[in-house]
Amino acid sequence: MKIVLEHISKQYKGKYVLKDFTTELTEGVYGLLGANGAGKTTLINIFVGILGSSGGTVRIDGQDARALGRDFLSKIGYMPQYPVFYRDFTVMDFLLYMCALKGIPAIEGKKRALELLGIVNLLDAKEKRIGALSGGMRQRVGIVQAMLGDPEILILDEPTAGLDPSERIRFRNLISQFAQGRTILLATHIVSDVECIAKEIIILKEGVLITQGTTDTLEQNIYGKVWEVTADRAATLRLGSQYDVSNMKQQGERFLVRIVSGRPPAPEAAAVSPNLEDVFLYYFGVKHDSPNQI
Amino acid sequence: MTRLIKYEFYKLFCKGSILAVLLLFSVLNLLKIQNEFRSYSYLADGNNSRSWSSVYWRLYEDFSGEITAEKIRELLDLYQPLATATADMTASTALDNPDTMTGNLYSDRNLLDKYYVQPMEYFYHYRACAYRAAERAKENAAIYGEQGLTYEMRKNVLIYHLYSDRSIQAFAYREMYNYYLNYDFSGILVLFLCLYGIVGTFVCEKETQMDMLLLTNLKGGKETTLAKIAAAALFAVGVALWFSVLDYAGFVFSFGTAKGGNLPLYAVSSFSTAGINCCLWQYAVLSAVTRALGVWALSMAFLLISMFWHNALIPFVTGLGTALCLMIAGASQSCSSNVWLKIGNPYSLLANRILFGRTEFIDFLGYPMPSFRAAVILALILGAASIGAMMGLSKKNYY
Repeated sequence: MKIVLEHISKQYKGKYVLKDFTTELTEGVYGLLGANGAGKTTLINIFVGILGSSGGTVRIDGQDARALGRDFLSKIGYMPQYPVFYRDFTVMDFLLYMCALKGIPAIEGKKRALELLGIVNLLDAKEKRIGALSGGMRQRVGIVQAMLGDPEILILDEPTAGLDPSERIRFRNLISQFAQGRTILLATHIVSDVECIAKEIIILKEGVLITQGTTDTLEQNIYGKVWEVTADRAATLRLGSQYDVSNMKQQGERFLVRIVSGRPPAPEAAAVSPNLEDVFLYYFGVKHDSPNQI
Repeated sequence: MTRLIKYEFYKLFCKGSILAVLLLFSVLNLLKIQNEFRSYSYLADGNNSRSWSSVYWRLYEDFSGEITAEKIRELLDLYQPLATATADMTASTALDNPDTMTGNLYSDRNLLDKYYVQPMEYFYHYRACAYRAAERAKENAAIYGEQGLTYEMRKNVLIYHLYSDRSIQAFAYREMYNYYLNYDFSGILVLFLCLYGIVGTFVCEKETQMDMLLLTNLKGGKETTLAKIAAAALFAVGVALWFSVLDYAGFVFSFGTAKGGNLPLYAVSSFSTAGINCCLWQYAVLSAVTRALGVWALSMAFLLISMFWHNALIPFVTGLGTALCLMIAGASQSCSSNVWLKIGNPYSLLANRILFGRTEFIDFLGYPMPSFRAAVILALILGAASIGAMMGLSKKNYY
């Protein structure tokens, strides 16, 4: 399946929150990375049809998604940001309700729900009230409901928000498990969520697509712009106020400072290999030589 | 769709808080009915052999059933000496008079007067009164016909047909029905409960942010809206019918009898000019259905109002204010001769004696339409318009 989002725009009161967004998605996990307010949720809401766009089209294998109409909805599974669901429902009742919403017959739906609950390790919690679940368990219920219709496209909006590290890792592994044979668009502002599992990263800033590529490509693009320097406390503070610091590690009395910058922050600074966090900082940094200033 | 309605009903109304309020209101209603009996019925004076209740039901065996000259004579034979003896208020006031039924002469007279003489008199004379009304309507119809006043002529023809065959053939206990037909308290409870249950229908989706998720599902748009409306309607109608059954059962239990159900509706004095011909038990059913319709229409309007808000408080307060205004207006219009005010207020369908208790018509394209029918049609329009607006205004997926 090939999904093309062409020139998607959204304006509110004359201001663009999403501008001329164009991308192409095929099978695999795509990480939609951006700071809070970058337009990720707007893009996703337009993609899933919750929000109307001010312009642009979504094409599925060359066909306008609007022409597919409701058939398009049966192709997508969506997990919203901060799902609360219904506190009084049991997990199983909720999933059966979602089956009814998706038009999945009751018996088939129950079978599918049990199968998915097994995969996400929630079988024991199937009769628990949703209100009694932990954040991580609720997120897993969220992905199960999105997967009920065995969708070809899975859209996850900030799926790991509020999860502890172990739950986050568990969730990431689940996404990888579900990625086979489908397109997954995962919006997040947490770099580690997509660093290892995404086929490609799409970076969105202030409603504009900044760049798109594999992790390696993106890292390669900023090669020579990430530096490490050892400095004393005073120098570290000075560097912090002048450059985007991606990491700071204490080594005795001194600090090993990792800096994203177009030029060496100090004569003794050594260029190092970038990682995805450096890429994120490179595009979203606020200091003097972030991309907009370079 | 059935599955969706089932889940919506379960989601929205099978909640501890709603069930608790339902239970609380049910108990409150039964207590109020019991209080009606204790406060207003003279037969609520216990079961000893000289209580009014015991004496009444002993006499009932003799006087109930078809009204005959013999029964009337027997009743007068019993009543007249008491009336004469107590007329100048000089009779014995002893409370343990062995020659009396209740222990006191005045008490005997009052019991017979209130529970036998007055009702028997009313029943006996009703036929003649109805006949006179029918004849007058017939004459009026002829006069209006001659003058070319078609609407008035048609109205009088209807009145003639309504009243011409009216008579009360049998004597039966009617006190329970009298209080039952004038009981409005449960209507208020129904309205409040429905308001409480229904305002969350759309709001809860927004509060849980499920409104977005629903829209991304095949049946999460209009079908879900329709399922919500159907579930809310089921809840409203179910609650209305439940309280109607509870009212009837409560009155039967409190008054200790359901006797009198076969009396015509107009056997109850406040329904002497009732706009329909049916017996009391039939009216109980009709009243329950009418009330359910009124509750449905108001619930749909409340539901529509709640659509525009993100939390339940404002629509609840708005709905509560509206409900109170309608109730006050309904109570103040009950004796009004302005039929439009009655039929325009959906609360009239809940306290429906306002509509059924009097023979009133509205001019509908030159044809007289009974006020209750017009009120039913207006309620249907209100409900249908609210549903139409909800369907039209509900969000849908852009695909």
